[in-house]
Amino acid sequence: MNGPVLEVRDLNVWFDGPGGRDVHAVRGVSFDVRPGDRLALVGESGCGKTTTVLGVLGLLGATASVSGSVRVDGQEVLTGGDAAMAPYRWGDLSIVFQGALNALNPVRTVGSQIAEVLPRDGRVSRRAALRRAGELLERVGMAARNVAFYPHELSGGMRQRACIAMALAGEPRVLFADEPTTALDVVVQAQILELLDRLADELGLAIVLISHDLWLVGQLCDRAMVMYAGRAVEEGPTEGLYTAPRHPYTRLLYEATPVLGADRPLRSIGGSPPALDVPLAGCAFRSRCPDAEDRCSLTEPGLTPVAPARRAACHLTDRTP
Amino acid sequence: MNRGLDLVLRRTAVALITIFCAISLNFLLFRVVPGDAVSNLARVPNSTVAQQQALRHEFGLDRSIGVQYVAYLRELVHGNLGRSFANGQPVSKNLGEALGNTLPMVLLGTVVAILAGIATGVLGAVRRGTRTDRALTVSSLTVYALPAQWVGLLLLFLLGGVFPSGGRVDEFLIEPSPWQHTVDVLWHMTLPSLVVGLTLFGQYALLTRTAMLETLAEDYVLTARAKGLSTLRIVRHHALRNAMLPISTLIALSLGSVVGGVVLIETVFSWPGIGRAIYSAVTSRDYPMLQGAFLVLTVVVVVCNYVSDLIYLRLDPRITV
Repeated sequence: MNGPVLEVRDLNVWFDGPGGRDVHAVRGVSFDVRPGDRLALVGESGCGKTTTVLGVLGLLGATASVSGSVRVDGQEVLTGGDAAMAPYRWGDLSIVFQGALNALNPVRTVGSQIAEVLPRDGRVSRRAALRRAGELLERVGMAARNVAFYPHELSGGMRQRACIAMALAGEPRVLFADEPTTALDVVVQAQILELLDRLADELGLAIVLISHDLWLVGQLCDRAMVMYAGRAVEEGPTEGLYTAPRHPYTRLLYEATPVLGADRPLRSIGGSPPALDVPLAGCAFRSRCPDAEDRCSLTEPGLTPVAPARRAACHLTDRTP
Repeated sequence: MNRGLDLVLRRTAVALITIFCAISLNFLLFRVVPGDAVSNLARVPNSTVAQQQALRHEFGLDRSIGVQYVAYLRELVHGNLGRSFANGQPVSKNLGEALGNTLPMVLLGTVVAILAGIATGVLGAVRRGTRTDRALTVSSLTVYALPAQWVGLLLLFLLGGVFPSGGRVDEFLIEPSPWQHTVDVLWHMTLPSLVVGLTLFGQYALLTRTAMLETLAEDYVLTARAKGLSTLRIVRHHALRNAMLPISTLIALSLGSVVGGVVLIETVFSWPGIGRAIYSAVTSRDYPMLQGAFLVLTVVVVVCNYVSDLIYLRLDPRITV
């Protein structure tokens, strides 16, 4: 019972590129999700966070090829294609997408979109399904009568709540949340965050949050994996990542995050992530790294333990304590 | 529901105003063409100017345009479209018969084209980039590019021996039972309906494919896939449901124009419908028939647009104006 719900090992994703130059978007990512876990995937845009999750869920299109291993309750689901993943979709693993307006079908009511994923034990009448959908909406702080509303009739925050209600409909054990608050103002952001926090506690949900926002991650998650150029560069408890980052990228990402009232200058990270359609030599971050040395251009560092429950992929971790 | 009623009333008003404008333009059109009906009749040898004047007076053509217009409207309201010069029958009776012959033929072809076109387009979009998709697209494009009358002649040439080559009924069928009559009409209808269907099929298939490719790439389809719904359900309830918005508009528009566009097809197959009525009215300068036919065609187009608006209203809850 205490084993991981989800085990991801050495996940690799390639996209077909023009002229046969395939883009290696996710490079050997591994992580576990146990019941009740609060894990975050952190990094700037294009670092492969969303691609990782879509790859795990088998939702990448035909232009992507995925390799590695994804196990749900010890059962391999990646190699079996859609048929192997299908029974776990929504029932065990569900997702809340970024930008809830587009994630909901504009021409169908919120209620019908929730009702269509309710577990059908025997014949559930349409009326009963809608009542259950209403209960789910109440659970996320909306009125039950909102089942009859169309997505465009709800505000952004309400739509995101409806998406969360929809994600709960299958009674999942792991909830992926892909930048769930990006399009929302700060007040609503905090409400959604609180909601996710409460639901995770009440339902024993494991949450995998995808975000570039370190503040958000610190609020909700107790463990984080920092990603750069399709690879995990540092992972560990969120506390330690901020106070004592072991990878230069984590440190710079933290310094680039605005914190109200903090007495430190805001710094951006110069340059941009490397192109992933050519093989990388050495550390992917070295061109933007202030501490880069000669050895960084020779071999790519692997994730190595740097402290209890902490791992980082940097050659320089042997230097700083 | 209030919104719906308000919109229906608005659309109805717009449709009625459009028909009124069309009627007025229709009236004007036949007054601005050089030579009135009498000058045409009066080409009879030995007709004197006095006789022409008498005729003009009899038809009321010597009165002012305004008076004629009011008289025209008054008679129109009473359902009087005048009498055909060619056979002396009331125009409304002639046109009613012609329309009664055209509508079943056109509807049969259109319904088949709609069903086949949507099915083809959906299949092409779901199998995007495969051989099936390419074959379907190429054949749709080919059919779309062929002129209707040429397809008609080709079919006559190929299948003329199998199906009747012209007319609506077998003139030599003596006292047919209603059943025999229906079968006979359907048998005669096959080729012209096939031509109507073929010429419409291409555009329906191509538009459906494009619309489906667009909706299949939407976020809500990704949501639907993440929900673990079956492909059939994703296509029907999410992708096609949204793709039906542009498709329904095209169907209504093409239905309106196809009734007027059957002139060539009906001429090729000697189908006694509205197209052939127009053709023979033009060749015999039967002004009342032409005027009546134009009126019927404009009303058909306006009604189709009106119905399309109502369907759109039903399909898309976001419409508010």
